[in-house]
Amino acid sequence: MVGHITYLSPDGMGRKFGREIKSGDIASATNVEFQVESYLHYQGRAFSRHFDANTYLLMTRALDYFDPARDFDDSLDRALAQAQCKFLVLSFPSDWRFSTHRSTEIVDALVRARKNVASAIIQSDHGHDSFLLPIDRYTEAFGIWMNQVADEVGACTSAQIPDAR
Amino acid sequence: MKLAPAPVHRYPMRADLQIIADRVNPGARVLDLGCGEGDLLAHLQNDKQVNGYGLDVDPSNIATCFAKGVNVLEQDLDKGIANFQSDSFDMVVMTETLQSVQSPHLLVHEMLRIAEECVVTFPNFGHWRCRLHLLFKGKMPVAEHLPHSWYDTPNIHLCTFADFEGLCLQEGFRIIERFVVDARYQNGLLINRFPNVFGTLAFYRLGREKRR
Repeated sequence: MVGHITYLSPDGMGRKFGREIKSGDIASATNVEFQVESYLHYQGRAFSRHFDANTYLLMTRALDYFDPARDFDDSLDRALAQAQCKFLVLSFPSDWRFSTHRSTEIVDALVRARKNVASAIIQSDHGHDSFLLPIDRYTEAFGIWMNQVADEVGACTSAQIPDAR
Repeated sequence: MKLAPAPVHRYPMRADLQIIADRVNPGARVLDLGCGEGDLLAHLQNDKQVNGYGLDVDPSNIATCFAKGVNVLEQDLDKGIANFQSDSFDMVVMTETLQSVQSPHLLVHEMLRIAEECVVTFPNFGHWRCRLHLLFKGKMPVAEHLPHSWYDTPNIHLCTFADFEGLCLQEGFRIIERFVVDARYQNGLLINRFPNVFGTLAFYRLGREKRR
């Protein structure tokens, strides 16, 4: 349940549940259950049915061990030095799992390594899930950037692709 | 290592940006603070093979830079530029942004830490129209080059050329070159003789203080 919260944001949770109580009235409730508690219990049960606990432990470990700089004397600059592509780094300040600070680290390393990089910080209250959701500024910026890349490499852009019939 | 080829588009450029572009060496590494729609960097990338980066906070400016293939980074100048290493750029440029940052003097110090030279441009509050406006109307000047009302302006640190040169002396910024123009980005005899009265915009190329 704690894990689940980290995929959301305080504002998003507040908007969704606030301090709503499930039974409707705090005076008549014997075992007070906030709406948010009930939601998290439900998510927790669903989660333990969908995932094998050991697999999940292994997967989170693998994520923890991921370190692109490890093979390069802990220097992210050197790890990125061999890249030949251009980069777009988008970050969401409401994301607790991958903070904007981490994205800034990547951007700074790319600048030091003299790579082509652009970045934007997208406000949203959907936390870590933001990157999966149709947030106006996010989809717009991403679209513009991708179209520019398509233009650069001579591919056709989304606007030019004929409808599939 | 070679950088990815720059896009082939050409954009018409404002005359003030051309004045700066003329002062950038081909292949230089340039940082543009408050890069706006990225016109200067797009031009430098295409015509001078410059490895440039621009900082801005406005979402629509950033999107426009994306469309031009400009390396724009979303970063607020008022939170500092300490993330850029000392001597990691050839030139740091800041066009008409000095007057709207929290601490102009600290920012110029930072610019000269990151590169040996920087170019700063800003509007002149000492222009004769501003002087007359205040003298006769007794109100904060609203002019062609300063179109905002006092209560609704991004320009929180307006100054005259004389003010700025006083700051340079006090802070040890070496003025390498000063270029003053009118609202149409032209200069002339009158402007060169009395820049602080007739000039609307100044370009200052600054360097670090010489060691004694």
